[in-house]
Amino acid sequence: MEAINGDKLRGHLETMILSTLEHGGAHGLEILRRLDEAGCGLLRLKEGSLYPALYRLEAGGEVKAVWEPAAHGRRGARRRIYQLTRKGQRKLDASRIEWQQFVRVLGGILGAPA
Amino acid sequence: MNESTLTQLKIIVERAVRPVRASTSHKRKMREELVAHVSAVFEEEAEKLGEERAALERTALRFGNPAEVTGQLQESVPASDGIARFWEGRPDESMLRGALRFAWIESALCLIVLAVALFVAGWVSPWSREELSSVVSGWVFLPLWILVIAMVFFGIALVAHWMEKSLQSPHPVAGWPRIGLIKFVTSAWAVPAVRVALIVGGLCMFLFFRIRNVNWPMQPDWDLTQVLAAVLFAGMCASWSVLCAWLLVQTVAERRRYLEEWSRLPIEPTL
Repeated sequence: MEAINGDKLRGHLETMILSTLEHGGAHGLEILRRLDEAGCGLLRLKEGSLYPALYRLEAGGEVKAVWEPAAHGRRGARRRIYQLTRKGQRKLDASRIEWQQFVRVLGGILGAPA
Repeated sequence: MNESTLTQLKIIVERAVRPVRASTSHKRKMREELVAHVSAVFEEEAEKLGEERAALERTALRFGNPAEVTGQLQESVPASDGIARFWEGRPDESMLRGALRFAWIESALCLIVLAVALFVAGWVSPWSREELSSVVSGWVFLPLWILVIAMVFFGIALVAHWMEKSLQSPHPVAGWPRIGLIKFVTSAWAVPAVRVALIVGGLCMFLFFRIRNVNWPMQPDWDLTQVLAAVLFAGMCASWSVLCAWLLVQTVAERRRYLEEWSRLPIEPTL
């Protein structure tokens, strides 16, 4: 199966991030791991693009972030742990409904119903 | 991970972060988080590939095109960050522009405080039309709160600029304690929060004595106890200010080191 690159993911990245955070708080790399697992290794996302999306979600109040405590068994720069907020959960639910409608309509047009 | 590898990882991050127009605190957050990310990716790749050079290349590849990441990071900067950026000023800003910016901000803040104070005063005891017009059109009102304050802050900004320059100058003033004092004051002034705290504190004190209708430093009919109380009060305010400045000066020294460290990183691609 062909890999899905960044261009095709554009516009869906934020919803996908919200979806991964539904399983619990995570730092950036863990979010990427979850996305990779869920996408069966077919997602080709430039990792630098994840953080701007997280910052946008944070600014919109859809996720909240806390700095990882310094004494967490790691040396060097700290990571931030992102959590889904209630607003984020509402956005995720709405996005799922939108997506189902999108797939139904386009599937019908393309002759490939979901 | 050795120091050289960490520097290479910081360069990967700095290529994307440095061109972003955002406040220092915002960029600091970006840098720390992205460095943590690329460090973890590098460790993962080094373990997989067993070779440091290849792991670095793979880390940079996974991070993505710095120009694209810069654009995305720029889009993620909230509009409210513009206020912090405006307050900090541009690194290459001229002295005159900086002073004007500073005077403009402080005057606007003073006018807001004044407007609120007038509103509250009018709310507590409703003013007649005559009272209001006499306050607003009085000869003391406009020069004091608009023109004079703007000029005072313009002067303060010039002094602050000189002090900051003196701290960064390659030929600092020699001798102790002058050098220590200048460094102390300049460092304190270089922190926006100190400027605000001291200026707002000074304004509050000024307003306090105006409201109390006290002619500073003393009135002819004051007794010794009142003089002592006033001196103690002033002393308390002064020491509080010095303490705050001393605490914040530690922050600015750290902030300067941080900015210098990151601005030294060569982010231009090597041939």
